[in-house]
Order: sequence, then C-alpha cells, then structure tokens
Amino acid sequence: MDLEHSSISKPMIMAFHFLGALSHIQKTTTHSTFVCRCHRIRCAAYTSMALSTGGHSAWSRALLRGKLRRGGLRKRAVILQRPRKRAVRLEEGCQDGADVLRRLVPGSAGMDSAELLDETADYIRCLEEQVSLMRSIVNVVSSL
Amino acid sequence: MSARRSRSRQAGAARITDEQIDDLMSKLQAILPEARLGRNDRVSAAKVLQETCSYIRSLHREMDDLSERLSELLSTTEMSSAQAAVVRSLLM
Repeated sequence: MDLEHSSISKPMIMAFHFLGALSHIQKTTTHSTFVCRCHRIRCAAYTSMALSTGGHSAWSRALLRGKLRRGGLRKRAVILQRPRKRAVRLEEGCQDGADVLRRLVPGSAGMDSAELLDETADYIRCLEEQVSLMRSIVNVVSSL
Repeated sequence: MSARRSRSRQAGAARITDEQIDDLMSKLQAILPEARLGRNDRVSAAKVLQETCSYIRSLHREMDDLSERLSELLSTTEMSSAQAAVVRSLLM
C-alpha cells in the first residue's frame, strides 16, 4: 500500500503506532525500572517515526534495520559501512560539517552530498513531527 | 535497494550540479527555524551545515526529554483510556 496516496495522514499513522506502543509498554513494564521504560519509549518513538514514512527514505530503513538486527535501538545512527567513494561536491570547509551530519542522520554514511542533504531535510521534518506528537500526548495525558 | 531514485548512486561527481547543491542547501535553510539563521541568502554552506547538526542534536535531546516525561506519566496514567483523549485532540 502506497501511503502517500492513502487518505490517512502521516501524523495519524505515527500516532497510531506510537500510542499502540505506549499502551504495550505500559502493560509490560509494571515492574521495570524508570530507565528501562524510558529507553523503550524512546525506541518506540524512533520506530513509529520510521514506520510513518513508509520506507521511502534511507534513514527510516536504517532505523528499522537496526531495530530488527539488535532487537532495540541502542544507537540512534546506524552507520552502514558501504565501500563507496563519496563524491566530494561541497566546498572546502564544508566536509567536516557534512561528516558530522552523516553521523547524525541514520543510514547516510555512504551518501553523496546531494542525497545527504535530501535525507537530512526529510529526517528533520519527521523528527519535528514526532516531537510535536509526543508533546501533544504529554499535554493531554498530564491534564487528564 | 529501491530503484525509485532517478539519481544513480554509481554516477560520477559530474551528474550532481552545483545548482542542485544550492537548491538543497536553500531547502535545508528553509527548514531550520528562523531564529537560527534568519532568511539571509548569504549564509554560507558551512554555517547551514553547522546549524543543521546543532538543530538535529537539539531535536534528539528533546526526544529524550519527552521520553522521560512520558515514562513518568505512564507510571501514573492508564494509557488505554487516555488514547481516546489523545486521538480526539489530534483530530481537531
């Protein structure tokens, strides 16, 4: 199913996954520590973020692959070791910035600059949506 | 790997033009909050990258903080009954 053509919006898909995960986490962490529950919530946040994009971006696939492989998101950026030459397209002085960006955006390690910037824009948009969703949940739940 | 992208990853540097890079840089600049850069066209690429990294880090930190708050709330609220209230507020 191509999510871009469905009538259900991306934020709703994100909310659906995340709320479901929160319910499940609550049921299964009654005797867990605060840190453990916190970690699971964070993983659920990144997962619902990745799932809501429908796998169109490399960062979402990298996050989901990392989750499947390790059974949890211990690191935010899953760095894929691709043996490929990077096209050096940015001006001098930008390479360091681009390298730092590659460490921050999941799955972007082997990308050329154009792709990296594209992925980054998408990643930031989704991060903002997830943060906004979590804020709304915190507001609603704490006012109950 | 998906073949959806028209840009071939195996292509040499020649395929990616400077205009493309400039377009993407301005796209990125448009996404960053105004307070960080202003709308000045003359911001250097290095500055855009630096602010982008800083912004991503702050978003990650916010995710951590919100996860902690939710963890606290989860220990005191019944989520299944709260879900309806949350969905209602999202739909409005």
